[in-house]
Amino acid sequence: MALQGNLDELPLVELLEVLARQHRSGRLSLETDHGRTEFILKHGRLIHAESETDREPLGALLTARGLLTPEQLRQALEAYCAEHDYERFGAFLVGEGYLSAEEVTDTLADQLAEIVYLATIQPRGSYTYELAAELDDPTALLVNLGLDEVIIRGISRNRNLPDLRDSFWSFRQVPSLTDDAECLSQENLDEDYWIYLSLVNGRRNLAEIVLAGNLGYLKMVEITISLLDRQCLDLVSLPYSLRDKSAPMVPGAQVETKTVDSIKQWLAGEDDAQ
Amino acid sequence: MRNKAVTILILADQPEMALRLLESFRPNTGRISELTTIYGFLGRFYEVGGGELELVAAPTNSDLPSLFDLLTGGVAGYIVAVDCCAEDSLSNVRAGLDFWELISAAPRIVALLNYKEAGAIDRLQLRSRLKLSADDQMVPLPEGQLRPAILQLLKIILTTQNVD
Repeated sequence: MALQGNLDELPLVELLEVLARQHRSGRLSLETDHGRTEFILKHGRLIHAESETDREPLGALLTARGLLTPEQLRQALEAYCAEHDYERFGAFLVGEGYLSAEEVTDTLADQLAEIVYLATIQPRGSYTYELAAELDDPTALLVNLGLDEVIIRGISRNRNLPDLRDSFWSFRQVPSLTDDAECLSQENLDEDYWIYLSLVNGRRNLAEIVLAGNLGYLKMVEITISLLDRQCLDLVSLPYSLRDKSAPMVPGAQVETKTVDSIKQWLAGEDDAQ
Repeated sequence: MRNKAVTILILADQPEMALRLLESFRPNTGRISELTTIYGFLGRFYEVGGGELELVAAPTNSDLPSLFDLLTGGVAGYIVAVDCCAEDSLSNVRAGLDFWELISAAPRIVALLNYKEAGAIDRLQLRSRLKLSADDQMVPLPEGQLRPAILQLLKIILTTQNVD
């Protein structure tokens, strides 16, 4: 039996958080005032989205990115309409050599993020989730995005923050407060900001702050963007530099040398005996 | 105070791969526990060669931070499993490495599965794609057997730990 409910009881992002955390594979269908939207998840990651209404055509996205000129798009569309081997335009563009698979799937990832974002802001609607890991069309190009990347892509596109992804692209990044954060004490911040700030310790990543603070993903992203904008926060994204310059990590457990040595000798001995 | 047991973590981007590797290790002598939970993850205890070995299988995600924190404190080293034929999974493996590099300074080793298959990604390319450091050792696992990786990791643990 499928899982069903209303979006006003369980908002879309929270529903996706649950499915992602449980590594679920299946089809999530939404019915809102703006029409029907479907998402396909595989092992908790979003691989495909379809929307009846809020979907910018792939061709428009490709021209906006400068991957196709309007003239090339027109020619490709004409050829696609005359060609019957491809069910989807993206697969046609790759199959006929107009673009690489990476170029098309990255653009599809933006399209998917936009569909999720637009579905997220629908106040009312119902959802159905059922097990169906595969898409009906096997030739379709699939993306493979974690929920964090979907949310960040969606927000950076729809709130017109194109530079956001230069510094913020994963919930695994680790935040640290800058010296400018001191001035936050003069401001009237809401409670979630203080929860967030209290959990920034230079070791815990953003996903862990969400869990530890019982914050939603969207709330966490909103606070992170706000603090980045005020230059109160840095996001560490190069673990090797951290590894070289300081030692924020838990060292490896110290084990009795004779124990390690005896197990090693025994393993090597078993290998020799075989 | 040093631990009497050697805890080794097997990390894989898919939980079933970590579990398969865990189950591939079947010593001919010594005692093996039932499959059990260690720090909230599936694992086994082995009484072998006069010492105790604990193997813990875990997915490379950070969805259970409190358990990972706990686990990190007790880990002597970790094995990162990489399927050389699953090029799509490399970004997941790298994401897992990002997390573990931040929280754990324990020594690690990269274990290669399916490295002989047609279409397996080249080792140098793998090193570059996973952004591994020059210190990271790679161990091929013939027929998916975990044993060579454990042996090599124990050698590294011995060389990195302070002498008693």
